[in-house]
Amino acid sequence: MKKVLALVLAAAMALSMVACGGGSTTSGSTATSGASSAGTAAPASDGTLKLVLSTTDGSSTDDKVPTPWYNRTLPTNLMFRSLFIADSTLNEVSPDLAESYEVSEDGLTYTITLKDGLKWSDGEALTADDVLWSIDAALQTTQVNAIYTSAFKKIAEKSAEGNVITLTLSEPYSSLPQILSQFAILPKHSLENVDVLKLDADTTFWQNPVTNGYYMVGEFNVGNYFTMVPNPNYEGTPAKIQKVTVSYVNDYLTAAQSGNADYLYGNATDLVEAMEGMSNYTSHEVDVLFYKYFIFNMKGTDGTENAAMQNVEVRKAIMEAIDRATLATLYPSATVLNSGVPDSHPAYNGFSYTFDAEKAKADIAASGYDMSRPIRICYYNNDQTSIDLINTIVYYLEQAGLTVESTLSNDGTTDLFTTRQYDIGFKGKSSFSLDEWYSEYLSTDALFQNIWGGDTAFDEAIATYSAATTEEEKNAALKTLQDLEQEKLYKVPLFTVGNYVFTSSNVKIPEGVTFCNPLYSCDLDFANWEMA
Amino acid sequence: MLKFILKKLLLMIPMLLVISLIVFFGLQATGIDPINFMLSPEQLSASPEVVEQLREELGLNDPLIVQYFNWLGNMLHGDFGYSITDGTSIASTLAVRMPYTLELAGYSLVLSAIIGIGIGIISAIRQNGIIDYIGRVLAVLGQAVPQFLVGIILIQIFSIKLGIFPAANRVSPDATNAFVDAFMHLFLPVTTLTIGMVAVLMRYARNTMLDVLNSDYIKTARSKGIPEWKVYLKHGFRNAMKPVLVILMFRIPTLIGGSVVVESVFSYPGIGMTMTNAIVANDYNVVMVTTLIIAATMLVCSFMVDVLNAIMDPRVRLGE
Repeated sequence: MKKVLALVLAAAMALSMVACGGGSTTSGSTATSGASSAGTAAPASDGTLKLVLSTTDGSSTDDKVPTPWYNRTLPTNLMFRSLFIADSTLNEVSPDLAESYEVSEDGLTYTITLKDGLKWSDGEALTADDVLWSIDAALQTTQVNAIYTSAFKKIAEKSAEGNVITLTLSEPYSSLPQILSQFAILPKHSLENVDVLKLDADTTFWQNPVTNGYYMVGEFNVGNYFTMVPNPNYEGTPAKIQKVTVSYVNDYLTAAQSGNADYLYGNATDLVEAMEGMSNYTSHEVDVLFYKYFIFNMKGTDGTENAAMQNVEVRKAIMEAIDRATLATLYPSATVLNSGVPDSHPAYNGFSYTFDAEKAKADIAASGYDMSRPIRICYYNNDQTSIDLINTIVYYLEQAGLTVESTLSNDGTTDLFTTRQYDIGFKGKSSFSLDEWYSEYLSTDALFQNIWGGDTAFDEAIATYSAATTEEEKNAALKTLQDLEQEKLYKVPLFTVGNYVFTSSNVKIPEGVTFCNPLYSCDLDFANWEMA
Repeated sequence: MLKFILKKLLLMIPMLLVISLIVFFGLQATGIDPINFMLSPEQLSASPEVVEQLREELGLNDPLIVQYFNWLGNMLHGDFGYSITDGTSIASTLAVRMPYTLELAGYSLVLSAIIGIGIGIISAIRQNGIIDYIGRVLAVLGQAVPQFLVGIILIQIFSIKLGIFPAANRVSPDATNAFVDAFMHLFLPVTTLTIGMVAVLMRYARNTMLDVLNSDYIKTARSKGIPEWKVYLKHGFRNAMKPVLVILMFRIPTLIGGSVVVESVFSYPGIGMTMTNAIVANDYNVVMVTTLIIAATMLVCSFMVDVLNAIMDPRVRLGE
């Protein structure tokens, strides 16, 4: 027995030793530690800006800095810059790494001049080669926002001469500067030998990335945090905040409540309500194009039709049966809309779907729809708000005399676009711009052609919109697209869900700063942020 | 004895193979396409050629049985593969995360053994006394309240209201004393894990001690005039501990499995949280490996229980 007890004690001691030595890896330059008398996190406002990254929303893992090519979070915005920088609307851009740019009259050639003397955080020169390599790499890697791949596929030729980059497009694409304002330039000299397909998985680089923004990584502790310290080679006005910590957490709200987050964002009802109840946080409501919408399963690429949804009158009646204004109240900030274009946009064509349960019932009956056949709804968001929303939609449709079956999918992409055992799909889409919403209608879209049969009806109008350079041309093209959208009724937006940014009273934001979609990058005058 | 140990070790191999088969084909049967979780729907639309290249590189175009043997072969060579969602090496992930989980489980195991067995023994010795009553109530509560709820309550009280302990992670960026920092970060998750386990051990230790104290040899010892403390410790405790040690050993894999919940609640970067994130992201390469590790831990603990039993009770070997 004594031996057994000794063994147990020895095992306990060994575990302690493992624990003391294991777990963390550090890299990069040494970061000065914020002085706190105890070993724990210091209370708020010790001169350090505290940021958090979520490991539960799929946008980040806790073993590396998230790639800026997927979502642009605040920590990556502070480390990686683009050729241009956008304002809070993400539409107006001004030069950042670029000194200036020109567009040819035909809208096909962009000539961009880089600033002189740009350097990476490791002291290497930032050149036009880095820009061209980044564009090529974005087309070949996996973890990348599709707005870049869609735009860069239109670049037919690219070249560099000294500081001057020339991009020649195969077709006019007026949104290229906006896209380039989001696209972070990465260092060719650090990444050119990495498997480009899995560029974001190279932890050697991403735990201590070579950066071109305000900061670089000071210390990286896997699973816990990384710190950011000033980049000595940043050529602009340095940030007043000297140290930033970024902790990986599962839950933003707990991080805020325990004083470990000076900036966070979200649109979930419980988060927004709780944050707005905290007096030491300021909420900033942000308009974003986060669509919640229906897609109708019409026809596969092989011509197989879903007979139940072929009659457009049925689809219209379904929209009449649903009170979208009431559904929108499930979210802290949602705006009902009737096409991809918000009702407040100058290009809105004025059409609206009106909720009328009785008319919907009569219209469905008149359409000849077989009332004994259940309408099948497929959705994949398993948060409680989405489940409540679907249950309410089911109720509305049942009030219209239909029987409804709803299915929560584990793999929405397969179920919506391959298996296709549904009539109405419920989707969410966070769009960078209106282009993204309408590009889903392209006959060549690899996913949506599987449910809309590769219909070419929208192609010409989308090309016209992409090529439009003036406001008038763009608005005219958008009106055409809305008319087509409401005629075809392949997909229908229910509403857009607004987002919120919350900043703590520990941080002083300069006057006049307006926050943009927190998953993109814009000018927040960060150099003048201060800790209270 | 050596023959006994070898036999038990060899028996683990087919068991692990069967478990690996069940895990691999079970996850395949879900019909989930991992590519859909690696890339956004927009990216799937925009870059079908990249998607195909990736599918080929990951071997997802191979027949299932080929994929299984490739995976098994790599595992036997120590190559656990790569995370589907972020491409990182699973072996390096485990190397970083496993010590964190062992640390959490280890402290919890030791603490719960000391507290659970201690209170259990005192409860048995002072049956129907105040400690016994309190211990029994706490044992029921400890088993009835789920771990995530205990964790959330502790965070609310000690992190948010009182601000004493951190609510997340294992290391603070501004820590000046590694030992204090470790203590502060571990206190709440270890307490959460310990509460449930103390309850089990307390009840078990109390019941076995009561059985032993009512046995004939204890009465004989008392009749010989042996001091009461010696009766409890030398005759009672020693014999009561054998089944308790078995229970303790079998709690090790449960602790590692149980840390899935606790690590998620406390954003603690161990195997449990890795597994939770992998399940959410349908990263079944990581799910398969972590599941196999938990299963292997269970088998190893079962093996150790058999060996311990054989050491402590020669009848076990006689019956082999």
